[in-house]
Amino acid sequence: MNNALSLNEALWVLLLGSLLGLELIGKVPPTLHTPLMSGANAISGITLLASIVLIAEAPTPLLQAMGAVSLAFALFNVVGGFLVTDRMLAMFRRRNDQ
Amino acid sequence: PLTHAPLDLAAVLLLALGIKGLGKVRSARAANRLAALALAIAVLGLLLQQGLQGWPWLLAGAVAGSLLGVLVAQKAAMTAMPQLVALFNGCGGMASLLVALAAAALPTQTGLLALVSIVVSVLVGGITFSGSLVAMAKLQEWLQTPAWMLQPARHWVNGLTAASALALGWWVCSGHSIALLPLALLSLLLGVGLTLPIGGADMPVVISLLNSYSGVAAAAAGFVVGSELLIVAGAMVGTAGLILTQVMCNAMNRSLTSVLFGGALGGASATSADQG
Repeated sequence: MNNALSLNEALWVLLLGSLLGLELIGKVPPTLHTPLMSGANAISGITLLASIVLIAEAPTPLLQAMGAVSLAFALFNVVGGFLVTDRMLAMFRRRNDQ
Repeated sequence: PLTHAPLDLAAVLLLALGIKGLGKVRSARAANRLAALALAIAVLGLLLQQGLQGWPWLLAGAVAGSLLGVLVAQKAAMTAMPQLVALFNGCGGMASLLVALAAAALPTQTGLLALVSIVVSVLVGGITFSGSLVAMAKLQEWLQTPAWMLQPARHWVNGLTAASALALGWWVCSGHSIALLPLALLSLLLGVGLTLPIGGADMPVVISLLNSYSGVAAAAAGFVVGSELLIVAGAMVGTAGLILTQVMCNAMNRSLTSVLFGGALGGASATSADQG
């Protein structure tokens, strides 16, 4: 679709992004394992960007509909994921303060 | 495109800070909101760049997805959090699979890079979807490990499925995009075959691994549509998820190989101890 992105450029982006991810997580207390997993999972719903591009560029209603369905799946992941992470962390905070 | 680069860069920065902050007790809640903000910025940047073409479809998908997300996230019991994460994660994988399938039908997607990205996105997205749903069903105790699933022969079956999927992927890359449909089917089967034998107590680790997969699927989708932001974010979640999986394994005194290939740990539906 977007042909402006060269393979070379894309591979650099992939490499640097992967290295960044390796460094982001260090020692995590076990109580935060599930919330961290849940938050990272919500972020992976960022594939919704691809759905949005697809909807804009799809030439037929069928493909646009597929884009819309994938957007719904991705947003379900994002919205639900962040909300649920927040719920978990809210409980955690309370438990810690008492 | 350069004019909207600042928004994309801001989104990447906030995402990284978000993931970092989620690992510390003090900053976790704020970090989660930061990551949510980052995603909002990413969407805003994309919409500014490409306009609102196809807005009825955008609106329909957006409303359906977010409404269901809010509903499910609020209704679920606090004890059901790991299975809920699995459900969300599976849907993210399905989104990548669908995008790639649809993109394959576009006339512009004929280069080798595009085809390889589409194959990866479909394969990993499919495994993520069905694997996550199985993980959810097992944690929810809707599903138990059937005895035949624990036979050593399952490794051969899974290996054969994986090999067939790779062969089909090869065929897609040589220009037969029709093979994407059986590829999607095989990837779904593979997700079930890999996850079904794993015991309930090990499920959180599996969900974390599948979460890493959904990052990989997202990065592949980024290659498909040519979005650097999507590639960075997907790669970041992919590798960060891998590290988290390792950390979780260490905390349980399990090795990743024994989780993935060791079969059920004791009772098939042992409930996970103290997650969360």
